[in-house]
Amino acid sequence: MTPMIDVIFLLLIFFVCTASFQAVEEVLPTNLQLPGSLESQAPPPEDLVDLDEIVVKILFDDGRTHWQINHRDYQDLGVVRDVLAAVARLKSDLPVILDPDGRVPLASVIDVYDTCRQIGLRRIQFAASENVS
Amino acid sequence: MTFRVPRILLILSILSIPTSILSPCRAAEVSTDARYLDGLRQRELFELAETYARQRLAEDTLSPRDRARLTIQQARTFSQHAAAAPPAEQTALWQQAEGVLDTWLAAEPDSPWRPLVAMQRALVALARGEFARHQAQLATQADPHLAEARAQLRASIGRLRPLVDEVDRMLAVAERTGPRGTSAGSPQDISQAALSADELISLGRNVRYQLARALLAQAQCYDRQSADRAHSLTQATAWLDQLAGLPQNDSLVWKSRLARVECYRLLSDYASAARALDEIDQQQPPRAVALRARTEAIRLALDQGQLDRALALLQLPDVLARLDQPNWDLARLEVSLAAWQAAGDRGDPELAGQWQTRANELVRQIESRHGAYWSRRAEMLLAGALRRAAGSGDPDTLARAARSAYLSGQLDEAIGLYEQAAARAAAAGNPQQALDSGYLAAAILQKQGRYDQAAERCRRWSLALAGQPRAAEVHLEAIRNLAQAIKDRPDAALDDYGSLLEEHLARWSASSTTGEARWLLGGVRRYQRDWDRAIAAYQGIGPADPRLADAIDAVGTCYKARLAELRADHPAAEALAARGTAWFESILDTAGGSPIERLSPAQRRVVLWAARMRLASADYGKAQRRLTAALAEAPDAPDDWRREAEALSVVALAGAGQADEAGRMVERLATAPPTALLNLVDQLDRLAQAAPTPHRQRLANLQLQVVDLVGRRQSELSPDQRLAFHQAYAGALVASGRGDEALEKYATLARAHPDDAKLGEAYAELLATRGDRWSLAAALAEWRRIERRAKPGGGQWFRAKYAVAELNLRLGRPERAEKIIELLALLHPELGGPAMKPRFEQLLQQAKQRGLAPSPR
Amino acid sequence: MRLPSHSSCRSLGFNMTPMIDVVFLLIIFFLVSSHLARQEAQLELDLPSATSGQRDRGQDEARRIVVSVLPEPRGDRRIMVAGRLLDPQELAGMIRFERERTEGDLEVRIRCDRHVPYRDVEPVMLACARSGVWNVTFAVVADKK
Repeated sequence: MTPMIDVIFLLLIFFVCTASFQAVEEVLPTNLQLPGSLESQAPPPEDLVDLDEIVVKILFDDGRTHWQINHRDYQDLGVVRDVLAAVARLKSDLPVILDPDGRVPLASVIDVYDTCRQIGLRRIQFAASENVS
Repeated sequence: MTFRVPRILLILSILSIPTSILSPCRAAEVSTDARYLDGLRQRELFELAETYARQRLAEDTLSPRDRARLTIQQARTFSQHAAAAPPAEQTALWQQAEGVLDTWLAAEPDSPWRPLVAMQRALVALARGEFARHQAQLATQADPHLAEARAQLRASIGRLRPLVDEVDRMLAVAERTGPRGTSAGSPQDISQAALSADELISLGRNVRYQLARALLAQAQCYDRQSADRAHSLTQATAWLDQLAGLPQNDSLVWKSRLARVECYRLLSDYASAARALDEIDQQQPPRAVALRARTEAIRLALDQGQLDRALALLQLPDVLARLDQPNWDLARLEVSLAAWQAAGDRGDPELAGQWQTRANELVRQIESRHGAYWSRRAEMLLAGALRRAAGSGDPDTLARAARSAYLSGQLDEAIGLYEQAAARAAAAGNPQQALDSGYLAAAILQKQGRYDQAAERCRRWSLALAGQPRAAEVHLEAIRNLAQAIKDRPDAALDDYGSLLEEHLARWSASSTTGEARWLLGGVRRYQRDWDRAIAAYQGIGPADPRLADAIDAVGTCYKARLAELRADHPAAEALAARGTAWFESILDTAGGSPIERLSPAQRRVVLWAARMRLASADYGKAQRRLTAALAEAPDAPDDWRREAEALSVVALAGAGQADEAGRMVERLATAPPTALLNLVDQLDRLAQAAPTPHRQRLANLQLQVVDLVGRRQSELSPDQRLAFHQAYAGALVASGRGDEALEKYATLARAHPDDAKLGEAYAELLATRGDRWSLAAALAEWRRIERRAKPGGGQWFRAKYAVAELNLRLGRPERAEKIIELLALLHPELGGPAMKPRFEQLLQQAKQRGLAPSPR
Repeated sequence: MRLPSHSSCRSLGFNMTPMIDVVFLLIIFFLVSSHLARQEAQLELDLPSATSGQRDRGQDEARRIVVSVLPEPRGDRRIMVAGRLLDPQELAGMIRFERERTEGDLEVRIRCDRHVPYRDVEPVMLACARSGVWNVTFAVVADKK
């Protein structure tokens, strides 16, 4: 009997040690494109030429994140999501450019990126500022 | 805000210190140098005195005694200069005085003249300390000055004390050696070599007196009940006792006696003080001393609370009555104030009032007789009494107290006191004074920058006392204050401002301020784009007002703006134009009705505006006639006016159908400035759009003619003007039907000026009107270019978007147009504002319909 | 008298249970230590959450570089690769080197704390883009919403 108890305790200890309460990690793929790289120099397809590209600026002031879509301010992520959803319904392969401000925490950036992917926008790019060394 | 004591006061105050401080001893002979320097100092020619002293000291032929004397004189010059100089230079000058003496003392440690120079050095410190103490009396922040005073006086006392012993020692030596024998030479030689016994004795006395004075001054720097004060006073008394008992009756002894009385008084030892005063009286003092003694007696009585005795002492015997001493007047003021307070305490308001009036009178006397320093002290006493007897002041006193508070930097208290004075004056039936005091209170608020409060007060007082002559000005001041207050946030408070102006005009419709009020009101209404009310305000400005010409221009601009707004509503626009014309012409007609030989500048402007109004209401014939008449009546008019009138006549003639006349007139305009000509082209263009077709060709020809005129003078144009010229040329070509030429011109222009968006727009619009596929595609490309360059969200950008969508539709791509507009609606829901939004929506409808129907190929 | 029989085989005094214990112990030791070793390579970070994350498909063809961005700079450096702290320039150099060295696909996984401001992450992305690495992924935790 005692050996059996030993074995059980050992197994218990093994599982206790190896149980990690960390959440399972997932990955979000991105599509990086530098301005001026070969792919981005291709002329935009004909049906997109008159449509604006969506530039989503993510800004951070006084501890709060707020967003700007094509120079229009939004304070609520839900509203941003609605607008982007409507745009996606219109045309889902419109290029969306995310331009986060330097101070924005990554969580907000990922939120917006995630939202775009959920809605179904396929061409999401990150803007790069020119004066990063 | 500290009170800057003007130099003259300080000279007076320094001079009120007995001048014997600054002369160490009365030498038997006063050198000419000393007299010369003294004279220069009295005339405040300090730099001259200093240079002279320096020159003299540079000479080698001076005897040690003269050198010592000259150094002392130099130090005195510096001291007096420091007292009279502005605060920035004072410290440097004091230090120079000290430096000169210190150098001498260091250079000649064994000279027999040492005591003189050492005493002078101590006196410089004493003068500095007294100066600081006077400043402390007058300043709001007394502490830094008092600290400085204490430091200097301590230094001075520190120097004087050992000096007493030194002089005594030298005196003992001198007496022992006795006067030299005859073999030593003449007395003059003796006095050249050392101080004589007599001189030493008098020097000794002087030193003691100065020491006592320094101690007295030091005592006055401390608080009333402090031990330091008592200590210093006791010491001073001890020194003065030595001097006061001397049998001689020279000025030094008198001064020491009076100082002794003061010391006892300050020590609250009233019995000894009284005794000392009696001693003075018994010794038959000279008149000035007797008056000083009386002053002290009065102060003693007041300190003891014996008001009746003080009042009795005020009665001067004749022999003293004609003397004029500021301290005496100040003492009288103190008595009046004490009596006022006593009457107030007793509950006798009438008597209190009498004493108050008396006190006011005395303050005025002091101000007129003794100058600024004493009047400031008097006012401060008055203000202090007023504070204690709060609530019982009459308007004059309150006003004075307010002024004193303002001068000493207590602005809030000054405001309160002025308000009280105004209220009292109003209650007492003196509206003029009430208005003045109220206005002064508001002026202080204005200075502090509290404009809204100042405005409110001005308004209140002016409305309450509306009948007064200055009320209108005060109200206008309220308006100005309000303008300052709302300068930063105009939109919020503009209504209040406007209603305030209207109130002003309602109350005082005929005063000198109405012109300005109307002008301001007109400006406000214009800013608010309320043209009708602006016109009403401006029209009220009378013919005598200097702003008449500007007012006429303003009325004209307002009419023009309103007409622009009413463009769609023809009957209302015509009615307005008719009203405007009538008003303008009424001004002309009021000049008598008879043909005017010469038109004044204002009338000329009126003529032009009347003509414009007529043109706006399409009354070309009459306008034409008036203009010709005016041109004839104003032979001496400036050229630009003539050009303007001629240009208007061209439009009038063209509108009336007399194209040939117009053409001839255009030729006369050859010398007009290009901008005027371009303006003319514009107007002709507008005319052409409204005119029936047969006229259009002629108008277009006229346009070309004018453009030609400008073209001849292309070299005079600036680049912007050149661009405008080319555009006008192209526009004229379009109007006269030469579209292809116009198109070519536009194309070249657009290529030459890719940045000019307006040009691009005009070009693209012209292309769009063509209708063939190639033009439409070119227009689309142009609009795309403009869109890329325009600011997103701006009016031009929206126009570009609209044009792109429309062209896409015309080119047979309705779904794309649909997508463009829908995307735009998502990203910019306002769709360019209330003007553009319906157009977008309409276009969207069209695109949808076209999209549903089979597309025409 | 009965003599003890030699034929009765006494059971061997060898007790098996401790042997099983030891074996289990060894197994457990190796399991735990390998698990912990793997865990040591992964820093404790508060990853951002996302709903559209994909499970790691474990593509073995792609060589993976894990770049961690720390929430607090350790001595003014925040980027950590394989336990080493790097500057942005050094990181760019390293990625370029890896890109040239790897024949197949290169994946760069950015594990970044959620509170890190974007300006500290941007250099990593720029370095990847400049070196021609397009397969950049963010490590996120699944959001249950």
